Amino acid sequence: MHMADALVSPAVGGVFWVVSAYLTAKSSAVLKKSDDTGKTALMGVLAAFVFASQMINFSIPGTGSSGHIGGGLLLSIFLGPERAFLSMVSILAVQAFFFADGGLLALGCNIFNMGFFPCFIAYPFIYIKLSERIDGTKGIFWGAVIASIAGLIMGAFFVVLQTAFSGITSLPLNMFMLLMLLIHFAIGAVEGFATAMAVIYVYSKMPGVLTESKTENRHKEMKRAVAVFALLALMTGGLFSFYASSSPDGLEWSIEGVAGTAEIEAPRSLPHSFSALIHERFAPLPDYAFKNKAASENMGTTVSGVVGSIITLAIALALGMFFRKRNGRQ
Amino acid sequence: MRLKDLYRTEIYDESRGPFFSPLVLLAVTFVYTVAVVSFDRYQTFRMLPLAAYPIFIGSFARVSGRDIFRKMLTVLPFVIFIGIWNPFFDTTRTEYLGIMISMGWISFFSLILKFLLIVPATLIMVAATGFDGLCRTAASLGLPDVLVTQFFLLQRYIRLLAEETHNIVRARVFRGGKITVANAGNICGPLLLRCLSRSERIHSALMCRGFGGQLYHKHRRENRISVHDLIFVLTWVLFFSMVRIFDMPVLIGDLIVGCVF
Repeated sequence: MHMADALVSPAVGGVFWVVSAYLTAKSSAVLKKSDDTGKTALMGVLAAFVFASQMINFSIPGTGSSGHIGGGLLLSIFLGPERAFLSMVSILAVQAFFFADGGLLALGCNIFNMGFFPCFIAYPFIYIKLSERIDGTKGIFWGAVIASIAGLIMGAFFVVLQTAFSGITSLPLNMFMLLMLLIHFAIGAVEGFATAMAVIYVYSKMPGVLTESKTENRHKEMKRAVAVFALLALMTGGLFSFYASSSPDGLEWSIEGVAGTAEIEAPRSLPHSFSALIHERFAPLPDYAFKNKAASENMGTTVSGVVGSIITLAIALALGMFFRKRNGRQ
Repeated sequence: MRLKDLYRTEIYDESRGPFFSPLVLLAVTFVYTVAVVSFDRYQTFRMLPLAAYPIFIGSFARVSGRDIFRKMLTVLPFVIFIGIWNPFFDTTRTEYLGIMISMGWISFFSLILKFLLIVPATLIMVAATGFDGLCRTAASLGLPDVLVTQFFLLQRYIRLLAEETHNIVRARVFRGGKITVANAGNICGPLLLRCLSRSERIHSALMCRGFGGQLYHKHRRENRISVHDLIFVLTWVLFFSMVRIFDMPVLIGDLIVGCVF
């Protein structure tokens, strides 16, 4: 399940779109310079593999639920971070557009949460370090499990952040954070375990495939870009946690920010004066039904709102049916 | 997740008549999404007129409502998971539709409404433009070649690998075996190996045909915008801003209620 469009505000969605677009452009530039078309086919097929492997839902003992293999880390292990990141972009875009899992505006957030952290943070700083330090399959196992958990937790942390900044939930922040992190810790452990098993299987048959991507030289520019974003993420996270702990009663501040009174009242007065004008001019019996304005203004607005909504929808539907018919005739 | 859905959306392609360019649809859908999301969390009926857009393009593209509905149901739980807490924590009571209700329920309702407005619009847009159209538009907008090629490859191989995976899983289940965490590696592993060797074969085949990093040809035509397209975009953007600025349902309702009574 990914961030949906309905859960982000335009500002949050926009910021993460820019960040993800920048990372995508940088990764593509790095790949263009490396000029290795040999892995293009591998990228496509492995991304398809991640999709297909999600059909293999295995049961998790004792819980009754099921899990599947983790995407970002597995791709990084076989492709290196930049290619894995681009593959994740393609996977997330297909999921958003064809399976409604995600959305147009939330795509930037999803790419950042599920692409950036596993590919550029968890893989190079956790998986590589651990698998280099511990020899053989043990290193792969612990590297994959811990990197998978870390990647998912960082992503979940940002889901909380993005939802909170968008002013969507009234859930106290601490609770929301705890809930999300706990769930993702469990998912990460299971995904990491399955990923480790798959990688170990391949390692036992074709050990050469894994070492290839590790030795590839990383581009300096990419490293800088990643460092900047990691630092920014850390700072926002730190600031946010500080803020959250200093205001334990939740998201009051963000509600104020989103539903600031000044912002709502201004447009409301305009249509009201406009409708008053229309009333005076066109309505045969203006103010007949709701004479006692002070008491029933709310009710009047409600009735008008419901009637208006139904009419607007009816017009839209009628137009739609008209065009559908006309289209069908052609 | 049902993988065959990925190909289902393409079916609409063949039956649709003359339609707007993918670029135009993408742009308007993006503006639409932003317009819906920009309503604050306690607003509900006010954003309802925006439903005109998905209904309109849906009728043009002749997308089956049942397909859209089914896809929406699969992703609804996450939105509910995030939103359902609002009624419990935001308990300020207010009058709404003549009944006393907590603000939390209003914001929850608003969230669901936003979801119901946005998701069909995106799905219909994709169904109307098709995978190829969308990729070409993205490429003409400056999406890097590597990524466009990646999209094309991904789309082509999902079906193949899905079938292979399906066979493996079915074979396992027929023999009475269960897929657990412990043996997930033994099932994914061979599939992964097959993918690796398959990608090598694809690569050699591509090289034999003179592959230079690009799987498609760029057309000049893609970026051309006709007067019709322009009118389409302007009309919708005007409509979205009208809905955003004025309280349309109340305006229209006032007019009607005023006339009737």
